[in-house]
Amino acid sequence: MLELSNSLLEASLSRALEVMAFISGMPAEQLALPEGPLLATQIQYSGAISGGIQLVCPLRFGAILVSNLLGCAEDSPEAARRACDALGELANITCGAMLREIVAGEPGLVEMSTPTQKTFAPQGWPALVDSGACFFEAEGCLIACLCSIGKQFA
Amino acid sequence: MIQNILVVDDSETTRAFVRRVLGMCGFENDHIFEAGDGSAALGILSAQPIDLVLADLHMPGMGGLEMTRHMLIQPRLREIPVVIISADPNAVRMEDLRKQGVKGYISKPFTPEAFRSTITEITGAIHA
Repeated sequence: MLELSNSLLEASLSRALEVMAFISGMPAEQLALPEGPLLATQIQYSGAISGGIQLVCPLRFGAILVSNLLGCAEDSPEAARRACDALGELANITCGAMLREIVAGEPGLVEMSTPTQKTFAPQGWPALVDSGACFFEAEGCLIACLCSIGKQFA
Repeated sequence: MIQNILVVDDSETTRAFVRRVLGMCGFENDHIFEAGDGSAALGILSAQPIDLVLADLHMPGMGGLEMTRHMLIQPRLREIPVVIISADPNAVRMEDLRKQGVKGYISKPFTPEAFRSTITEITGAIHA
């Protein structure tokens, strides 16, 4: 169940990046700890089904995302300022797309929380690798995606 | 004719992205206004003539649907079309939104082409 959910999450993430930001990626094979500060973005959902998603990636990827969305330079103050917000919105769109697939045709509604974010400590990386998360590589950045069904992230 | 557009979303990046896509559709940047939630949007609507509202559904504070309900009870605002742009996963909600006065729905993620098509369909006109 976890494997299926993570795969669907990864597919939804891939589509969100391609459709809105013209960013293509692929499943990552090398899972070394990325350089620079890491951000964990979580969304919880409840209702017809409950659980949550978590995306962990370098904060730099947020600046890349802003650069693609808005046409500004990746190292611009604008990209830096909006990086966290962009990653929150990416998680929102990805989670919505994933849930749309899961609940299609099912009775009841699913409600998503607003994204919450926190710095991801490097010492947590080995456990993340062992957790069954999917790892996706885009624009030279590693993105970990993890989905839980029936249990919300702390 | 659609001239002034109000973009309502709690994500600053999304507002900027929608602004950019509207620019690609030919709308002038000076005629695009922004608000972070429904309450702020109603404030702008009370002060500025607006021809189209593009709003997220779920926002901290007042959401897009509640904002639409407020608009519908005000004679000056009730004819302004509201298009919801949202990542909400519930397909049944789209029909419910239409019944409550929303004129259109754009699911995130969206391509600029899909966005343009929906806006054209609702407004009957696009600038470029």
